[in-house]
Amino acid sequence: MNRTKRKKSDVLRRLWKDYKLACVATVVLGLIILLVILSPVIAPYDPAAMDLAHRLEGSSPAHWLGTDSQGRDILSRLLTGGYTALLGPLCVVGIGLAAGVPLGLISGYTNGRADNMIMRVCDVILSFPAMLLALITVSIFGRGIRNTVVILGFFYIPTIARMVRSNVIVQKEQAYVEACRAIGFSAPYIMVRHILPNCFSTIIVQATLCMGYALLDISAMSFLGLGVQEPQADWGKLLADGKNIIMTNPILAVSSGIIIMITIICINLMGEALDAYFDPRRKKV
Amino acid sequence: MGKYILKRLFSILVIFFIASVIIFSLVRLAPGDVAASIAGGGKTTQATLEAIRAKYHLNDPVVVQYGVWMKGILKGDWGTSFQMHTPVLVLITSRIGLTFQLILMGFVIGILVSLPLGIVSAVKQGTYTDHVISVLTTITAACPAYFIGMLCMLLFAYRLGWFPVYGSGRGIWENFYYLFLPSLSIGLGMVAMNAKNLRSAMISAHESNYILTARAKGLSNKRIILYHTLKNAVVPYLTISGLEMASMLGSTSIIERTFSISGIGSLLVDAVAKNDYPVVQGITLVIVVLVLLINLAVDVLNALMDPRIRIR
Repeated sequence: MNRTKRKKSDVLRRLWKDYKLACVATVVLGLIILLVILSPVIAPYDPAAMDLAHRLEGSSPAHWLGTDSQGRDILSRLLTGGYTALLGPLCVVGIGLAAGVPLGLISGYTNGRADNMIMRVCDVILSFPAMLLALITVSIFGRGIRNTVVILGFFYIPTIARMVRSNVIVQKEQAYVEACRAIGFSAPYIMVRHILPNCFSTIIVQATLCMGYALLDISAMSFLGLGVQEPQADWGKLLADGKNIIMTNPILAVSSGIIIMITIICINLMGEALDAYFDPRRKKV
Repeated sequence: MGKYILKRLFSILVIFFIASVIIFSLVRLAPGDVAASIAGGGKTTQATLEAIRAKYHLNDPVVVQYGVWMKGILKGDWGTSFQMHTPVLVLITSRIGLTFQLILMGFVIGILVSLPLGIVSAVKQGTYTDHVISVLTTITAACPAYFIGMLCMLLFAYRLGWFPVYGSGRGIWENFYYLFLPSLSIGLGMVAMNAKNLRSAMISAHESNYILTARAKGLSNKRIILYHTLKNAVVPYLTISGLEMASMLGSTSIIERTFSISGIGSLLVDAVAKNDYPVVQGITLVIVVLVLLINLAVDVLNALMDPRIRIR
């Protein structure tokens, strides 16, 4: 028991030594997540409660970050707004992985007609700006956070499929795959049990980085009024609200922008550190 | 070279065809009656629906419908916006100039900032300067373009009064002034990716044997970096810049919305919010064509710079 404990602290110390920035990022992101999860308990006010007598107030002991144009407490809205902003990217990347990983595996391993078809479809989707695609599909299926997340997730599939494919192509040439084939394992078995685990590190890194992009995209959609709808709060939507009152109370715009920024910086730093951890050759000098 | 361009043109035509099919099927994918969604979703009489069905050949097979639609597009009949009751083509042509100027200015700013940053951080690799640049790019990479825009607006327009807060001026020259802040925020968005990629491309090019040769020949450091390393690192840089310019066409709607600029981006957002399908289709088609042209330009430029690409 004692020995394992010491080992654990050793690992933590080494991680801290090699990846200081990423450790700080993880702690900060963890704090943000914790605050957002605890928001129903710790938010000082009901985030949807209007109080027209106290509109557009600046920072005060009663409202730390002031109030918006309808007298709602900005700090409470910021805390609850993190819910969609954090859960959304998880779902987006989840959808992208669920379809992108199998497609990439098949495409990379079979390398035949299936590969050609999958990759051409990916090419076509990737040749459009993602934001444009999201905009026009939301116009068909209607606005709302659920549609936005599903549609964005769909558009992350080609990116992830391509990344997995290029990884599988490299792995396929390795000796262990040849050995598996010689033993007589079936193609699906080799793909899932042998090649996939060897691609995990790249997939984790890419998924982390995608999470940052997804957060940007979801915020942009909410900013345009197509994602999260009233009276729910979301960081992107708070930024849009903040734009309208930027003259009288810039705190709303600045605070919601900064929280988005910090979250994405943390995610990106973690992604880069994971990249360096899995592949020391790529470690920054 | 001619053969290479022809090959690229052909593949672009294929992609354009697929894209046009997708754009065409947009309205038909929408839940509910197609005629009703073309009519605008509100209350419509049976007679109107019949008229729409006849006009868009909705009772004919889908292939015929596509043919009729495409013929209209090629002839310049892009339909009529049912929100503004104006022909779509007129709406687009009257607003696209502003979007063009915004994106071109943003692109130039992005290049002017990212090129020196990338070169300096590669040359001064591992030094204090490199770290500062890396911090800057990490921050801009995480910053939504519209947030940069709002900060610029707050600082340079409201507080300092150097620039107009929003809107656009009259004529191209006045717009250079009006569009400066919007193009700055759209341009800074591409800096992080470009500078980082240029840095790593230059560092890997700098380790090549031909650089050693150049050094052995006694060339000056400046000459090696500008004529040998940069020339080889610029091909991936160009490709990424092209991609960034294409994605600017997607994100322009957000910036136009932030600064209340009436280009095609804000027109698209309005049309999406009001289910104005003809306008959505028209703008999407324009943007897709522009993206494909940008891709073609990038391919041709790359082939000119790197003979190996032509042969493949």
